[in-house]
Amino acid sequence: MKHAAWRLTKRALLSAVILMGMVLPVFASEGGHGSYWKDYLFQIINFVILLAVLIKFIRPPLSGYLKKRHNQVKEELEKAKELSEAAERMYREAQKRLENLDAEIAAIREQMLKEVEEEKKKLLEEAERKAELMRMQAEQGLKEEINKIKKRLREEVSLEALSLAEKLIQKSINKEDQKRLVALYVRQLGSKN
Amino acid sequence: MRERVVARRYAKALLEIGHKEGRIEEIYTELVKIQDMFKQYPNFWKAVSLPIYPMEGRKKVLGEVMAKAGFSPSVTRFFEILVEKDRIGLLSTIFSIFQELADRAQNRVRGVLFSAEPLEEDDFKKIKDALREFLGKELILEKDVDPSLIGGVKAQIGGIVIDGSVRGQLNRYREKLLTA
Repeated sequence: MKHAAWRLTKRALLSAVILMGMVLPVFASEGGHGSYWKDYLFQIINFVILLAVLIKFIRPPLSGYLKKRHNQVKEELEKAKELSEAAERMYREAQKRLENLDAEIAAIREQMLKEVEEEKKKLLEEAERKAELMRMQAEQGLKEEINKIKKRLREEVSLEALSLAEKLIQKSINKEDQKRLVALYVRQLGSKN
Repeated sequence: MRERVVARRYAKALLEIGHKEGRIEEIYTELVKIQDMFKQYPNFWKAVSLPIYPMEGRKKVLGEVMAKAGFSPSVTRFFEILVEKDRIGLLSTIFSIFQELADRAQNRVRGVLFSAEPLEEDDFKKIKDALREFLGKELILEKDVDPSLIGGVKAQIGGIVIDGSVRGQLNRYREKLLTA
């Protein structure tokens, strides 16, 4: 871009020098004080011609260049504006998030505390339930064991007592007893009939 | 099982003969007698039961011995058929089924009366009469001594046990104490 502008400037300057070269000898050949206004006029005319030439030759490319440059700058400005807006948006979002961050952290913390509390409660309940179950099982086992021991003791005592009774009967039983037992047997058969 | 079915058939046939002749008891006695003879004289048993001896010879030995021992012709003929059909080996089963059928036919049961000491005849009679009354059937009762009873008596009649012994009493107490 810069090169193009520089080329245009160079072209304009060159055209001006050529024109000055063509006009100045004309003024120099005239000479004298009375021709001051004439010279001045010529100079103005020269300048106007120069200006016209310049406008004629330089204006279209310069205008195109300027228009292009204008558009380019405009686009860049728009882009910059968009970027700025995006940055602004992001900034605002970030700020908003930052503003909400504390609340978010507080909510998360609260949720976590709640969950921890619930978990703790659940674990405690579970532990209590297990403990109760174990206690009941132990109690049941103990009861069963006591019953078993009681039963065994009762059996032992009963068997011992019966064994003792048997020995006593064996020692003491006599003919008379046998007779009585037979009579009892006969009586019982009669009563059942 | 099959042997028992066959034995039942022979026992029934023998019972019918007894019915016809009106001498079931006598036939029963003859059966007991011949079984005793077989036990007492194993060679006699071998001579009539072993298939290595010729059939005619086996029948001849059986016929002669039974005739000499005074067995009735019908029972002798029955045993000849058993030898002929080679069923003499079923004799003990035939006997038990015959006994069962005869007892049933005559409304009679058999049993054993156990006592701790030998019973006096008078006591045995009293008990037998009481049992007969109790069962409402004719009773053929044998005596046996079982000292483990300690005292009293125990009757075993068919599948029934009527226990009046001290041992039985003690056992009942034991059961009661253990289940209490």
